[in-house]
Amino acid sequence: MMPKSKGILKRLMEQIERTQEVEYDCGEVHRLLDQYAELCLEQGEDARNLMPLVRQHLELCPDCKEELDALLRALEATQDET
Amino acid sequence: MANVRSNESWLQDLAQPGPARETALAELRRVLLRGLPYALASWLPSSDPQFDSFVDEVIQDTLVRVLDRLDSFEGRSRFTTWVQKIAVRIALSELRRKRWRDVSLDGLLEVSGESGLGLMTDPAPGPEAAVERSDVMARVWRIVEEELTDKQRAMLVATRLHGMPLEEAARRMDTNRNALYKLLHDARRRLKKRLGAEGLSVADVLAAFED
Repeated sequence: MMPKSKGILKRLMEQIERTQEVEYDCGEVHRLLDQYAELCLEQGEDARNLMPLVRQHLELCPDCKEELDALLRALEATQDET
Repeated sequence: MANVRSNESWLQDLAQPGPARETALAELRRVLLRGLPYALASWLPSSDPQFDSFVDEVIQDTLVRVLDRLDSFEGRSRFTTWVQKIAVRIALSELRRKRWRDVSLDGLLEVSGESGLGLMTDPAPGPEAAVERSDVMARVWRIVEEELTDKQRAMLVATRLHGMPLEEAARRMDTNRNALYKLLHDARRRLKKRLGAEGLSVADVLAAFED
């Protein structure tokens, strides 16, 4: 089993590795999250590449990722009435 | 399939008080009532005794906010997607606040020995591996200590190592989520630059932990 310390260190190092000079903040991502969620549902993995700065932020920000996941679940459940 | 409204129709009906707005609000409520149980499935199960009242409050707050911010809808998505995005933010903010309300920032930092070093101690490596890991950790944490401010270190440990939501950490630091993200971004940029300057790659660091 992977030691807890390795998991934590790995997470930190992965975040450092993914770090870009320019990144969207949470507010900018929230503004675009509805558009991004619809793209994800309509085009799958390809859509993520259409909005790379949003995708990049979501890889680094668990809070925004949780919000995207929750939104996607809601959209899937209401697709037939919206 | 339900009759799907256009974005223009939603905006038009919600713009002014009256029967058209009431009908539109009732339709939005129905959409939110259907979607929220799925959105919150991993946070608050619909079997929870507090679920119904929580969802009612979220829907009420969402509809108030939607009416308040109609002008900010940019038409980048379907209107109902925008509304559900607002509902999700309201719901998760409240659930995070409840989940973390008894956790103090100072308590978290004490657990991890202020710098977080304690969290990264592997309890059972062999003697040689222990020395190597200890060396790597010492190098990484020397860099962290030298490059980051006290505030950046504390926020990195609280949010990235302990998993405290940004919003909750920001609340405790009298700042906001955007400002905190920028602070952490700056911290990561500094660490990345310094690790590079010292010739330490992610692979180098992780290799020291391979069995």
